[in-house]
Amino acid sequence: MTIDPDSAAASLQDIADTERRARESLFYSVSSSILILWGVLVASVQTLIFFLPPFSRSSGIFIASWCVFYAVGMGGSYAILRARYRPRALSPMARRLMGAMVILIAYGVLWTALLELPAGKWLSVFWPTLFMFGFVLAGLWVGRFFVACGLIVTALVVAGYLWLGPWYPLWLAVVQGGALIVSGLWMRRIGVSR
Amino acid sequence: MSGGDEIIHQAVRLRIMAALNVLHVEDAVEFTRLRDLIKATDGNLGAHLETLEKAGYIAIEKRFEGKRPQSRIKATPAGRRAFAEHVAYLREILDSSGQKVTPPR
Repeated sequence: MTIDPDSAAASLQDIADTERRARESLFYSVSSSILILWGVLVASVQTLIFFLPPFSRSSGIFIASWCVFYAVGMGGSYAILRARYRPRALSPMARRLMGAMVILIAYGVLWTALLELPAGKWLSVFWPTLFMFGFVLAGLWVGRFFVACGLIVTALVVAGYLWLGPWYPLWLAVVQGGALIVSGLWMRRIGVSR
Repeated sequence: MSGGDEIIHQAVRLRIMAALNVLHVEDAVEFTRLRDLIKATDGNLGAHLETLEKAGYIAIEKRFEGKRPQSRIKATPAGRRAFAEHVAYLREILDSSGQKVTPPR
């Protein structure tokens, strides 16, 4: 068969475009389980906080439960990535995803430790908004859905913080946990399954 | 310069092979997801999959997900080899003509 250079160039461009879409789709599929995991964790912890007596919210048990939350979230995310990519090494995209999560959490831990404010309400708005800004940043690569979702949830979190008083943890469980779960389900719908 | 592959070079089949080639050797993709990825219609995709299957470039596995029948498609080792050779052939054409294009990874 004979192919002229213009046709060869068009075919290679078509291949590059298709491969890019396929890689994005794979990334969506892997990320969906991770988002659902974090959504369930956020909803569970915030619901638990809502039912805890207010005085216990700065106790050692309370702080320990947040440590467990991040350990389960990070450990679970890594386990999901390993299971999805086995027996291959993690893809560069998956490694960047884990790296971004570690950096985001490290940033939050650093400022939580450096700002010597009394633990409590400001932390309950700082962490959710930090997470949602991570969502907005990821959206610049992953898609506009995440930018919009990150901004809307941030606005709802701040509104709840300002006006909902004691109902705020439950609001976070629904709004932030729900947003992560819905995003995960949306990504699962459009991702390539194994 | 080795010759191009006439079966793979057709536009829709080229996209099918490009999408399947991104997946791991053991991975398969569901029919409807592949259709969305390569922007084809059901009938069009079905016909081209048949051609590729006859050539031994892809394998189609039919199974039930609950009560719904599902077709899952994956590239065979022969298909991956043929695709790689065809991409190399296209690049050779461009290299010898001096044109440039974003190279597929």
